[in-house]
Amino acid sequence: MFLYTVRRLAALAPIMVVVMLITFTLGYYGPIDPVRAVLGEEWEDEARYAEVKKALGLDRPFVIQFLDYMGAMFGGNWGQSLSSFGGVASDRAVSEGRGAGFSGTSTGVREMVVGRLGITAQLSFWALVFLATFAILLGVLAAVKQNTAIDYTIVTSSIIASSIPAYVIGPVLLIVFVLKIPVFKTVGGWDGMFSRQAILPAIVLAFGPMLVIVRQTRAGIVEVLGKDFVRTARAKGMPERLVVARHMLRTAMIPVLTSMGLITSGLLTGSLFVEQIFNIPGIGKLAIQTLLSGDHAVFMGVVLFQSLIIVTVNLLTDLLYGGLDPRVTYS
Amino acid sequence: MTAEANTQHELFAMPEQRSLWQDAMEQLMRNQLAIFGVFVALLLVFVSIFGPWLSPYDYTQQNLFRINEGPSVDHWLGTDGLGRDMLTRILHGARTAFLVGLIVTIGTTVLGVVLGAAGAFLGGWVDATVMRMADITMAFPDILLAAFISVVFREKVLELQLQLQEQYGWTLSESNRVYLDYLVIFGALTLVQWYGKARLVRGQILSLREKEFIEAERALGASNWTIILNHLVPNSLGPLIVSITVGFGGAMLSEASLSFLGVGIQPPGASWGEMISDSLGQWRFSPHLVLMPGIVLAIVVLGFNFLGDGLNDALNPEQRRR
Repeated sequence: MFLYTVRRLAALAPIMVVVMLITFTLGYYGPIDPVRAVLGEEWEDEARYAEVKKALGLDRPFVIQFLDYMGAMFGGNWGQSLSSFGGVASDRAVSEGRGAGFSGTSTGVREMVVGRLGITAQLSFWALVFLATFAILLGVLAAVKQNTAIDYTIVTSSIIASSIPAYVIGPVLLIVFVLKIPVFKTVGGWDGMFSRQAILPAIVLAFGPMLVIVRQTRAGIVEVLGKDFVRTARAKGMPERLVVARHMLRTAMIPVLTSMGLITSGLLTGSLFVEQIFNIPGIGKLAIQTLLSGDHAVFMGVVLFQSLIIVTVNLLTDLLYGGLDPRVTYS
Repeated sequence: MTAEANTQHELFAMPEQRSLWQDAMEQLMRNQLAIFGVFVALLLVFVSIFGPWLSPYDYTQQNLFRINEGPSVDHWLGTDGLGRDMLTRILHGARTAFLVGLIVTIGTTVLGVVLGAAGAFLGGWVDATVMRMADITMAFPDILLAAFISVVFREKVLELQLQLQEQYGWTLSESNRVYLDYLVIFGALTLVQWYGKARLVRGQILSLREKEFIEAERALGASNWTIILNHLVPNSLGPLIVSITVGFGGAMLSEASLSFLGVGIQPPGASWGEMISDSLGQWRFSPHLVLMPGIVLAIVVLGFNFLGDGLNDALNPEQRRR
């Protein structure tokens, strides 16, 4: 197990390097010329163009640029947003070069990504709360009422909720709960995680992974329905409610808990549609904005950061699974 | 299964001759949700072929005197912000969704089967390379990677098109420009979605190879090709068909997602995702503009999911739920 952990950790670094290489290559051959973006209207002045290009280090060969980028990323300097060079900033680009403006201002890519992640994390937290209560409850109910109309209704409506993309469910909920039944007055934007604006987006975000939780909870409970320890608990005269809560749910929760990691990384990397619909300045919104505006350094930062979340959570899930289930051995 | 395969096993007289496919068909017909899926899929095929002739309007035809209208006799589903007929645009969106779904599915299936089978049969460094490529693709947030590829790829495709135009005078009309978008999305989605089928095919082959009946065939002196054609292909076809069906729906959904984010089909081309994002700002005043394409997209995605589930239950009896 220890050796396995070390091996898996060692395999992480090369994967991240290749991920970096792919995003860097895409950015390098992408449609936006950073020099032109920095210079604005000045770009036709050839001498000036060459000067800025040299200052930004873009005149060097591809390989050197990539190695430099990779080294900086590992060192914690994720580069600069193009917006930091806005206005007459080409002078600044020349005087300060590649490290320009990296002094903890909000134009540093890392600061932008980490700052926006906070909002996405708060949103994901509510979605997880919603899943951990509502979805698990539905799963238990479906299992207890196995093969009845209630069961079919719960499972089928979870399939529906999870198949339909957020950019369809979001507007539908907006129309229903703002126009038809005016429960919410202000929607869109972000006003802290305890404001009413957070409710609708969190629900929409939770719809995606709902089916997984409902199905796993249901399957887990169904599996232990006829087990001896459940019968014993009932024979002791324990109320059915407690039998379910204390005995069945506890065993059924193991697969649900291990999949929670994957669901969390799915929420953190998949919130972009919800953020786009409800105009929430999270990490997904940042990615789309910077991709469309051509601010590739920031976009690449988001992609790399999300990749890091994905591979880390995958690893943790595998290890946790091995830790919780003694039948699983890794070699 | 083929007639040949049946005669081979005549020695073991079965009480009732019913092939996997007959059984699957019967199972599928009993599943109402799957029937709904079949209906949706057939309707989508019909509409994407004949859609443009079903409506008297052109999907780019604007009428600025009649914008953001609700459903009426002239415009059954109303008109959008530029006075274009919603129904016509939804019908064209069906064509977009279907074509993208089709070419992306063909692309990922070919790539997945070839790479997966190559990895399983050749083993060694080929297998290791394929699996590492899959690991790396999986490490990316898929929609963002597809969006990035499509932004970069679109630029290259446009450059190429301009070059061709200068050299050979090949020009593209405004309405044919949408085929460039198809090309871009095809490239982006195939590169992001190939690995699922590759892993599936590889896993199927590796596990089937160890089964006793394959060993028996080998002991009887069957050649590699006989085993592949008579056993490996028919036995892994079930899961692959399910994966193709689900993948088809997934590819259509991804196209809508990319178009919703503004990096897929470009206006005035019609895509359900693009229509939703286009009228998102109007949800308070003309909710039907967002609802109509959204409902259609939801029905199609659901249809394909139900069909996939139904096929899974029918073709992979060992996995049948309830």
